[in-house]
Amino acid sequence: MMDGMHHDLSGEAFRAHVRDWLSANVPPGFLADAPGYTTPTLQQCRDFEAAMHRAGLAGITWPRAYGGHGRTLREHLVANQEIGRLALPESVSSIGKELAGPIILAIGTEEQKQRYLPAILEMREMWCQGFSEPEAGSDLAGLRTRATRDGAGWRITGQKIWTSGAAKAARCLLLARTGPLEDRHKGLALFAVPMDAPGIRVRPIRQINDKDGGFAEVFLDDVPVGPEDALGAPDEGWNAAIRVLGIERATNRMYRAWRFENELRHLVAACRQDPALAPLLRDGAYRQRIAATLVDIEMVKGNVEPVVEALVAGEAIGARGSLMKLHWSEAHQRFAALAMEILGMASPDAPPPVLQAQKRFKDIYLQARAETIYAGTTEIQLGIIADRVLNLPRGK
Amino acid sequence: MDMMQTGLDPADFADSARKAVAACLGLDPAGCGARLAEDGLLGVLAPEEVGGLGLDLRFALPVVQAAGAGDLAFPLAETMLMARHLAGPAPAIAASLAAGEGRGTIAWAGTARTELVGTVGRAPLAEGADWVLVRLAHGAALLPGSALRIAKAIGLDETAPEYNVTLTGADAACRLDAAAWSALAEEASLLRAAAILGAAETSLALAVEHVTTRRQFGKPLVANQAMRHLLARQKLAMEGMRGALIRATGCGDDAVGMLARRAAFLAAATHGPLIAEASIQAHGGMGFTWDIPVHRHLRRIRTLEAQGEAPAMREAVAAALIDAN
Ligand SMILES: Cc1cc2nc3c(=O)[nH]c(=O)nc-3n(C[C@H](O)[C@H](O)[C@H](O)COP(=O)(O)OP(=O)(O)OC[C@H]3O[C@@H](n4cnc5c(N)ncnc54)[C@H](O)[C@@H]3O)c2cc1C
Repeated sequence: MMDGMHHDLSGEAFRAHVRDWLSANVPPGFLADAPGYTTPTLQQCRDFEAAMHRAGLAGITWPRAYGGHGRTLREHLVANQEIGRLALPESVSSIGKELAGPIILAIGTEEQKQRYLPAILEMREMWCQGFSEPEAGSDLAGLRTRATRDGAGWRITGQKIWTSGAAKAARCLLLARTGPLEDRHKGLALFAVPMDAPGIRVRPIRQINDKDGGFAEVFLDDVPVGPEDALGAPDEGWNAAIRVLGIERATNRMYRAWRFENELRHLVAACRQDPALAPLLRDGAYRQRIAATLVDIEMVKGNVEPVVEALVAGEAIGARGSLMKLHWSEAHQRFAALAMEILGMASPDAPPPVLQAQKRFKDIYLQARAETIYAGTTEIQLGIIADRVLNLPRGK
Repeated sequence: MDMMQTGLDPADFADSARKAVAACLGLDPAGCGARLAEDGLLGVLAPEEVGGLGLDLRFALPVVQAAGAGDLAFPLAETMLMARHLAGPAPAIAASLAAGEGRGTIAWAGTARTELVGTVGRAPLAEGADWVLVRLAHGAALLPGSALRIAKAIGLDETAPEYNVTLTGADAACRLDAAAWSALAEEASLLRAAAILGAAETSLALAVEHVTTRRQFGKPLVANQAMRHLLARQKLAMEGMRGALIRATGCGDDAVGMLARRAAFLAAATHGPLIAEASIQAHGGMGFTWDIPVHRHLRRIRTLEAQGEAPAMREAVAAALIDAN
């Protein structure tokens, strides 16, 4: 099917379109579980993601007026199931597409939607998320970066840290304080700060996995921000930030369960290729752990599907994102540890497919360390579940 | 049957099941059967020809969940499944089970020999049962309780104790073929997941109640983050179990659905016992008393886990994945 002809499809026909498009258009070497894999460059990823958007595989639920495809969240789930089945690289613009975009749609002005949204989908502009600060991690409401009035616009001064993809980003979804520090979550405002504005300096931080373009420190020194780049009202920032975090925990990277399954299948297939690993597939203890992984994956699916239905029915995500995020992050860590254990028993002269799996799962294992830290740590999620899902009294 | 056709909602059954289960407290199995049959709960799955409601499994799940939550002393899932699957080969027996007149149960462990000798086990509340369904190498056989030697097994569950059943060569009243037995067994494992979910929910509710009322160090236990996180973890596991079960009921009859159904039981069998055990821990010394009912839920959950043969189910799940890759 050609680009642009996908608008009338629904349900299974849409799934078939996504599947067919991917099988025809994934560039050679892109799939981490297929022969000939080489880590794609940033530019290759951008081009591929732009093509995905043109084919109807990104911006699925966004209104057509802003370059989206005007479909339902169910179809977003369908597309993500198909995307997850393949060992594709992670999106290089998920902050723009999955965090900034939805919040701009919710609280942005018409002019802002026109200006920001198509540029995100067409992969012209990537975004970063400037929430965390040296003094404000889990305690986000303690952030100190200050926005002060400058005529109709603002001047922003402060420091962000752990800002993923800051070096490649065109804009930063930045949370700053307009009132006194004691006001905590009152008097916070959200901005779409252009990263090339004067007074911004980005200092990359070397990550445990030595990944290029990882997180960074962002220093802001009297950075001018026009009124057209302030998102929502000056005191709306906290509610908007909470919404962003809800999305980050619940619906972001909806393909996760299916990608997780792809990873497990890859592990099994790799074991078959090595005479030292193949017997493990017949070992009862490993079979029980493989089954436990599958049960974990089914639980991730069982968490995400009802959320889609609830959102389609008009409900808010609320605190259930914490249940979802906590389960998948810990389940994924358990699996990554199992994969490392198994692949660690490979033959010294293991064949290329096994080496390729070792490389993939080493990356996954290290990356999984971050999954229980970002978007709210495990301990913070447990606190939210206790407070807002179980509704436990404070007990003072 | 479709919800649109019947105008029924599975959630409606949850409410009447909770009330009926509460009314069964203190009754013997025969009394429980009669009380449950009053609300039509034993025949939810049985076809209308034998006096049932002819509904699909989604309607039975909340009923069994309520039974788990209320520690019901009756083989409810067994009776529902027998009334459905015996309706063809033995309609009169199915009708008496659905009506709460005859009492039946199923021996979940072991396989009897085709000539109907041998000992099978894990038959809840088999003492005094009119009918016991036992597994054969291919299918199952229904035997009159009077023709069996029934002995209490060493089991955890004291409310619905398990029995060993020795066949003595007596004739079967009827047989189920292999396909009918495996359909029954598959339905049973989803019903077990629902029963475990119910028992786990009660266990967690009791723990929440305890930590909010008991005071130590001058404040309620719930003021301590360690206790809050302990309970949050149990809630996480419970919502994961529930999500897996709901997902399984919406899946089709293919490999995807098969995995989802097995995973629903395994999620419950994996996390259910831990929730009840954590609840005992949260109760401190109180949790070790006979009077606090958490141990009864733990006993039930562990028994259901064993009846569902969780390790063998995990093996089947692994086999399906490994053979396909
Ligand atoms: C790979 C990666 C990418 C990231 N990308 C971004 C990004 O793009 N933008 C952005 O804004 N941020 C980003 N972050 C930052 C992330 O959101 C924070 O690291 C996180 O919120 C934790 O804050 P912290 O690092 O200050 O840790 P701290 O808050 O200091 O926590 C340290 C430890 O203490 C525990 N702890 C903290 N408070 C409590 C409490 N009340 N009770 C019990 N335990 C507690 C935590 O759980 C943790 O184990 C990223 C982080 C990582 C690892």
